[in-house]
This record gives sequence, structure tokens and C-alpha cells, in this order.
Amino acid sequence: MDHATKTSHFSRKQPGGMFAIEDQGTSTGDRFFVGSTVTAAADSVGAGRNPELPFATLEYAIGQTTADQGDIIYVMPAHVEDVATAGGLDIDKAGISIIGLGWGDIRPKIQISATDATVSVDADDLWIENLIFEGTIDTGVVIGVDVKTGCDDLTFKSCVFRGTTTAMELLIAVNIAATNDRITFDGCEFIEHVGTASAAIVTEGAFTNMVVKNCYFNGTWSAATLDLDAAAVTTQALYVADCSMTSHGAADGIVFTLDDTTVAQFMRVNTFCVEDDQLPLATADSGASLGVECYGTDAYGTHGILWPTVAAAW
Amino acid sequence: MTLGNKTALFGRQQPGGTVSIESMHITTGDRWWVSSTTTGAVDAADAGRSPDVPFATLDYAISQVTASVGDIIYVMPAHAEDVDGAAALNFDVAGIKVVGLGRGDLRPIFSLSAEASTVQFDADDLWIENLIFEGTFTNGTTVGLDIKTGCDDLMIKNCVIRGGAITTELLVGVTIEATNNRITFDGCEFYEHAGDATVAVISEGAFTDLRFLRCTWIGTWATAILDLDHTAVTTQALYMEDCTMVSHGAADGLMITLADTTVAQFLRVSTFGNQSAVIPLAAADDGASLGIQCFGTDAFETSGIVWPHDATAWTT
Repeated sequence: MDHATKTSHFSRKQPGGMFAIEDQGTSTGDRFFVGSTVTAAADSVGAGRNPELPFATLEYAIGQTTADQGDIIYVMPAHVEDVATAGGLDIDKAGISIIGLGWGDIRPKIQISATDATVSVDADDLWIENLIFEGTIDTGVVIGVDVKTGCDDLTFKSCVFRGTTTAMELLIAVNIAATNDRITFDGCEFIEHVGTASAAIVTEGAFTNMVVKNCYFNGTWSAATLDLDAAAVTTQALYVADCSMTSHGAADGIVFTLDDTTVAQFMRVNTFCVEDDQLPLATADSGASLGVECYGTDAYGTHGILWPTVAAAW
Repeated sequence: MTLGNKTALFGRQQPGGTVSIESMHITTGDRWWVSSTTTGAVDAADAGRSPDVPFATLDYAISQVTASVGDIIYVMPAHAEDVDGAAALNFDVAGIKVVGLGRGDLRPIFSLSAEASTVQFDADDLWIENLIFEGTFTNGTTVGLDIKTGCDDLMIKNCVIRGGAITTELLVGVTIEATNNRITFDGCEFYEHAGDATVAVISEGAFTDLRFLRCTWIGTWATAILDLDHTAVTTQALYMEDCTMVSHGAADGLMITLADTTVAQFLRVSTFGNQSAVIPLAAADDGASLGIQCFGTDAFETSGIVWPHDATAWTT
């Protein structure tokens, strides 16, 4: 019998003589570091291999990774990156992870600073974690994060999507092009003000197996919080679980839109709204939806009641 | 394409010759250690870099860290620190994390030992985890935790805030000054006795995005457990989820006070009181509040009922 190694840690000497211990149990891919506030940070070959000489931008770092081998980019605390054009940050390398480090407002911030600026997401098998995407232009950003077709198996984990003020909103926080499969939002927060934002998440066409779980939505979106009715998806389309969804502005829209034949399940999805008597998911949209332990309330000073409204006996 | 390295773990030689392996997956900031019970612990510039030669006090450690680069201070099991004056422990460096190690009463304990003692918070982006803040002064400490204006994005996680005995309470557990945004209490426990405590958490002015998640309150507070009605906040103000609130003394007050126009949501907040027929959030205070699966009981041998007490049926 051959004896395997007892460790997932391996050593490697780095440029400049730095000695690294490698945890292959996390990934056998390469690790890169990005930090705009580090004095020596540079977007150049040779940088990015350790936190003391990181890359200056995430956009450059993505270009240095290798697709589909498990590479991880660590974005350091207090990193700030300006996205001033459409696709100004383009996450287009398949199979990489991008992990922000830090907490509170020292989490890495991707600031979208022009009306037409976008963070483009354009590859399969991406994992994006602990980043703040925020609008910083006082006319509002039309689309914050633009997920293109060809982004199967995309995960946003513990990210924040927000406008910084009532004027500086992400009018659509995340836009998803058609025919993407298995997109997941896990533990994300969507925060907007009582401004002119229209939707937190919009789909432009069909999608399958989209999962929204452990997420927190709080703001005012005039069309819908999740606006997913562009196409009917009669196979498994949507699963939403353990989410809290608040829409409290005078101009708030509905919580969900779906095509009436889109197959969806809702579990412990709680909605707090002030639109009188309006179901979170309209009866006209819920023809293929199932709900378990979903409560909603639509007037101040009241407690929530179940939705969908109809239950069948066994 | 650049060949990266294969690791988030980096080795660094420390003063005294020890080598530490640091996981950059957690943070790229520095790590520091604090322990009052370790022989060799000292508040000196070269200490604090390993558990073998830690700093002796957290207050000194905070003065050694760098703001907003992701530094973490680990406070070791059984650490005890006396807070004997106003702001004698002061979290005043932005963007640091303080993590207590240990469980039960082995968790680091900060004893507020004078009437005017306070643990002060005075910087943005703080993360405070797994610490015990305890009153030890006979006749009670006026304010335990004093959160100053300028503490946006404060996280207090899995901490215990308590009086040591019926005579050594934190009369006010936590005071929050005006205009702080995004303060979160997650997994915290507030314990008091049937003494003279007045409130667990009080706000002195406006606040936005204040959150209480998975918290437990057990004790007697004469005014309210959460006394948040100082100012009306008509944008998003308060969110509570999966909390348990018990007030069982003869002199217990309300569970929650709010200005009637303050915007708040309550999800699975369960209240156990024994004030006859007093709703956890008064009808005069709930004009901009929404509740889901919140149950409360106000008399022994009774089961909880839903609050707020009104509900409207869907019609569209």
C-alpha cells in the first residue's frame, strides 16, 4: 500500500525570497493579491504574488490568472477600484475565485462612477465573495453588474450591491442576460434609497436553477425587487430561501415578477412592504410557484400573513 | 499570464526568532495577541506578536495596530482586564477586528469596576467578537458600552453584556450616540438581574440600519429593553431577526420603544414578559413598523400571540 501525504501544505519560494507555505486543501490553483492602498502595488508582471507587492487593480489581476485551474485572487482590505466605463471591470476568466478581505466599510469597494459604467461578468464558473459594488454617480448607474450570457455556475457570496446616496443609486443592481444556468446569490445584501432605482435583479430572458438564499433586500425599487418575467421557464427556474425583502418607499413596486408558467419555489421568504394589499408575487404570476413558510405584510403596524394565499389539504 | 504562488499562507520571522505562518485568506493585516494570564505578557513595543509574549492589555494593543488594513487582535482565553474609568478601554482605531478566544467564562472578561467606567467605541469599521463585558461595581455602572458618533459599520458579534450580580449591574448596557449607520449586534447576550437596570440598549438620537440578529435578552430593565424612541428615523432604521427578549422582574418596562414614524422590521422576535396586556411594541410606536412571525406572551402560564396585533388580508 502506498502511503499518501499527511498534509495539504506545501512550500514554495517566492520572488524576492519570501517563503510561502501552500495550502493545497483550499485550492491547487495559484493565489494573487490586489491592494490599491499598498504603497508598492503595481500592475506589472512580477507583482501580485504576495500582500506586500500586490497588483494595483483587480482588472489587471484577472488578466494574470489561468482559467479553470482554481486560481484565487485575494482583494485586500480598503482596496478601492473605480469603474468608469462599460465593462471597466471585466470578470472574464473562467473558473477563478475573487475573495475580498475585510469587514464593514474596509471591504474592497468597486465603485461604479459613470451612468453607463458596468462591472461585466463574462465567464463560466466564477466565485465572487465579500466585495462591495456601489454606485457613485449622481445621475445613477443604469446597470451595476452586467452578467452576460455564458456565465453558468456563477456564485455571488456575501457581496453588497448598493447606491451610496438617494441620487447615486444602482438603478438596476444586477442584470442577467438570457440562458444562464445555476447562478447563485448567497448571503448578499441589496441596499437602495428612496430614489429612482427600478430593480435589484433583472433577467433579460430564460434562466434555469437560479438560487437566491440568505439574502437581504432593503430599499425602494419601482418595478420590482426581483424582476424575472422576461421569459417563461417551465423547467426548474428559481429557488428563493431564507430571504428578507423590504420595500418601503412611496413608489415601491412589487416584490417579484415571474411569468405565470415559470417554475419556482419560495421557502421562508419574508416580505415587508407598504403597498396596500399587494401580494409579494401577484396571483397572475404564481401559476407554477410553491411557497413554504413565506409571510408578508403590506401595511405599517401589522403582522405578516402567508403567501401564496391558497393552501390545499392533503 | 503571470505565474502566481500556490498559497495564502506566508511565513514571517518574529522578534525572538519564532516563525509564524500567516493565512492571508483570513486577512492581509497584522495579527496581535493579548493575555493577562501569560507569564511574560507585557505592554511593550516588541511584544504582542505571538501567544508566548502577548500584550498584557487590550487597550495597549489597540494603540499598536494600524488603522484600516485588516489587523486582528486575538484576546486569549482567561484574559481579564479591569476597566476602572470612563473610556479606560477605548476602541478608537478604525478598521480593526478584536476576537476573543475561549468559551464559557474562559472568554476574555472586561470588568467595569467603577460607577463611571465605560468601554468606549470611537472609530468606524470595528468588529468585536466573543468578549464578555461585565459590571462589577456595587450600586451599578451607569453606562457599560458607550458608542460615540462616528462608529459606522460597527459589528458586535457573540458578545455578552451583563451585570455581575444584582448589585453590580450595567444600568444602561449600551448607549449609542446619534447618527451612526450600520451598527449590528449578532448573536449577543444581554443579562441583568432584578435590580436597578433601566435599559439594555438606548439610542441618543437618529440612527440608520441598526440590526439585532440572533440576540438574547434576559433580565429586568425598568424603562425598556431597547429604548430607541429618542428621534424619529423615517428612512430605514431598525431590523431585528430571530431574537428572544425576556423581562421578568416586577419592575420590568417595555420591550421596545420607537418613535411612531421610525421605519422598522421585526422577523421572528419572541418576547416573554409579565406585564399584563402590554404589547411588546406599543401601538403608539408602531406607525412605521412591520412584523412577521413575532409572538409574545405577557402573563405566566400563557402561550404567545402574534404582535403587532393587526393583519390585513391580501386582496390583489
